[in-house]
Amino acid sequence: MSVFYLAAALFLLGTILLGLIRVLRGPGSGDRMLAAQLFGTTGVTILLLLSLALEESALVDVALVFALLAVVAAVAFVRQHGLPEPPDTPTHRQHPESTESREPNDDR
Amino acid sequence: MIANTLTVLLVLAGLVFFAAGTAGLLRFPDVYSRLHALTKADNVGLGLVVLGLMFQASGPADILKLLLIWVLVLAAGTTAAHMVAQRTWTHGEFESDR
Amino acid sequence: MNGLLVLFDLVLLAGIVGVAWRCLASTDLFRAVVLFITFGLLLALAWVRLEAPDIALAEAAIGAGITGALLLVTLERLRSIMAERRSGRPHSPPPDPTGPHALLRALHDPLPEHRTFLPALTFALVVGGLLVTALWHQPQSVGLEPVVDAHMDVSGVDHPITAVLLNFRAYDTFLELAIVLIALLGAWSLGRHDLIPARPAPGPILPGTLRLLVPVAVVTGVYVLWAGSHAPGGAFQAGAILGAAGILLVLARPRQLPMAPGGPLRLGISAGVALFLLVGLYGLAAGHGFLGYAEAWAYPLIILIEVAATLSIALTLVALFVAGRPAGDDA
Repeated sequence: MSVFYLAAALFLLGTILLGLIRVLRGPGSGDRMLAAQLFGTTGVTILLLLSLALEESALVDVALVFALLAVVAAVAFVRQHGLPEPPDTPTHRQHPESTESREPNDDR
Repeated sequence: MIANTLTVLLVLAGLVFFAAGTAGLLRFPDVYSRLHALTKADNVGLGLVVLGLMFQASGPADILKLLLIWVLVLAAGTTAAHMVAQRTWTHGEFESDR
Repeated sequence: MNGLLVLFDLVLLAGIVGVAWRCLASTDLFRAVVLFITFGLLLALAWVRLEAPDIALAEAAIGAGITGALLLVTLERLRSIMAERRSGRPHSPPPDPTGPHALLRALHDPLPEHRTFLPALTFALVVGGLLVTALWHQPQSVGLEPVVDAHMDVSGVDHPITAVLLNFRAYDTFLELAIVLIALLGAWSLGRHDLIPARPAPGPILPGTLRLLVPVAVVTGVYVLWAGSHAPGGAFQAGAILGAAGILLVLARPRQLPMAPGGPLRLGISAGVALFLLVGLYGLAAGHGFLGYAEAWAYPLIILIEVAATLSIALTLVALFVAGRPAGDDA
């Protein structure tokens, strides 16, 4: 059985390395962030498979921590929202209701 | 024996979804389509693998931990998809990264 | 099985080196950050393969939870500084102090490649040569594993790593905690903080996720701390998980969070080092030597130190993320 788990983990590692093409190519930062999110989930799965293949039950805890904190980078990413950007951005769109007032931090 | 067969089948099914997710990430034309490839296929993939591994768990605590991992990844995937879609919508797809 | 394992390791190694190379060579800062996050993930897998699940756990918490967010927020600030510089306006909120911005600018406008290539190549060759020589002359040795195993019964815990970190080599851990504290003092000495603005994402998704994740993070942190006595885990890992939960709250807070009062914050941040020092001095006075414990007291004392250290590490990580002294107590 452990050969099967290891082969599955190897397969998933291969999908991560293939997915890196999307990170390198982009084009937008949203694409890259999505790829990183996919890698996080794949990494969790690899850890679960390895915990059975190597018979190391602590790896499930490592997977748990990865799953728990997978969202932090995406939350930091969406905050970049509302920054000044070049006006000639090709597909620049704006929600009609969000006026994007950039007040300096009002919560001091 | 039956448990092992079920595990192999479910993990293999999960791997198919991971492969589909990666293919979608690489082949779909824009961010909004890639959201689908990723956050759906990917989480079904993990769900199937988790379901498969549950047959190998040594007790109810292990099963609950696996389930918790899946729920956390589901929440993270949903939230991340929402954030990326929202940011792309308000900010444009090809903003300057410098 | 073994051939497959070697193949897995080779693929992993190729991935790590490739990702590191693309990350360093990237001209696009956001791409470099995403590659660095991926690098952390692969590194955690490498620690797993090196049979160091404790470090994999720490790498998971720090790599997934903290460095990614830290780099993205740094990028956010860098961009707003650069945008203001480009538009020729002075910085709208006068940053305090101005020193670090010169460094940020140097990071943003790197030197041309032909001027950095030769020094970089020389440096890489020297470091690589030193590494190879060090590995070449590595003595054949079984390490300290038999010694640790022979003394496990007096350590007070069941996990060898925790026994080494908090009993046999407690001095190292004490100094590590002190370094974490000094790092924060260094960050605070740079000035008052420019609070990261609250910029909540509209919609109910993020608050709902926070409500699910933060309690689970607290339970997981306590679980990892508790697991440290018999399995991989412990104060550093638990502190990093709780710290990441705190950073998540700082990043996604819906409105204002009340600022932590200065006094209790300082007390919590220094609790780990202070308690460790007290226990160490008590051991000295009771005749077990500095940081030595009586055998019967080893377990409760280790737990006490670990709880205080977890609290301090979590608070320190959040404070380092926010950076700068708490506002309002400059007097």
